Amino acid sequence: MILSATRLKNKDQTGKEMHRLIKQYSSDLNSVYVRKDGKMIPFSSLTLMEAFDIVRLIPYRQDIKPIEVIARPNGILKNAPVGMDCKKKAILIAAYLKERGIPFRLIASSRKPNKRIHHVFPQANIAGKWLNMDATYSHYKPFQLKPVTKAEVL
Amino acid sequence: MKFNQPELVTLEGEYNDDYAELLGIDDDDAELLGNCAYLTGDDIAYLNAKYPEYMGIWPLIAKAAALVAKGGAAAVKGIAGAVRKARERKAGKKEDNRVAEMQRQVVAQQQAAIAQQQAKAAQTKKMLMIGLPVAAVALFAIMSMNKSPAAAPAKPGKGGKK
Repeated sequence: MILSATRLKNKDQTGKEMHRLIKQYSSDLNSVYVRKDGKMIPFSSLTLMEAFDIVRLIPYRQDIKPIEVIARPNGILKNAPVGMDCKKKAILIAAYLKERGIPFRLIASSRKPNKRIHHVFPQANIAGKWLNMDATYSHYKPFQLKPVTKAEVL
Repeated sequence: MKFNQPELVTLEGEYNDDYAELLGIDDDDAELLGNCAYLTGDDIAYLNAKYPEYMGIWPLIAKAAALVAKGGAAAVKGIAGAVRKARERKAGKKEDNRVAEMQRQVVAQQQAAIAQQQAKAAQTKKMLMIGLPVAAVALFAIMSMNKSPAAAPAKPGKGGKK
């Protein structure tokens, strides 16, 4: 396994690295299998809702500051039982969307009055509309609208 | 590798870990996950009962575990170690700050005590500077009154012949 650590300067650096991992390793989801109707099928063969549900139900766990950890999809799924934060869930959903040929983008957002960016989630372009696919917490729903004070495309 | 400043850690390449240790589950259960081509309903029920915190994602874990070989655990442990060191450094810095704050408080108390003493000394000096001349003037006035003939009581005559 390759482990690299670089000085984190800004959110764009994180976004760029997330995009690289998604682009380079989205095919991981073709070799990670899940059970469906009594059969084991690749994660990438799930429907959008099924994939969202699996990621949504993975426990949330924040990274320990000042370290931000991101990983390729199979590495994220391997460590799923210990939980994961919004970045890793965004990578999983975005990798799934890429494998299914659905256009996606990553959104960095804030809900705070001071507009400090603290969250990232993917959006899928379905029927010409960008729809939220934020699976960070188990009570989130696909396409759910989000109240934000600031949002930027990474 | 230092983690006392914001760092972006990226994990990629092949994951080849001892997943029993990583998942925090018993070796037998890890073997169950690793050897099964797929999990039966009974297997999942057993694992759910034993590890409810995993929220029933065993089929996913099982397949991920089946992909796992040896070799990568050291890197994950390395991250855990680095995280622990970062915590220790943070705790050490906090202790240093606490000691420095205490020292600042002690110095401030000492300076306040010195200032108080100086103020008291200055007040005493001021009182002496005012009090001494007043006392001297008063003493002088009393002495002057005693020497004045007008103020002297009339002495009775010695009486000679009557």
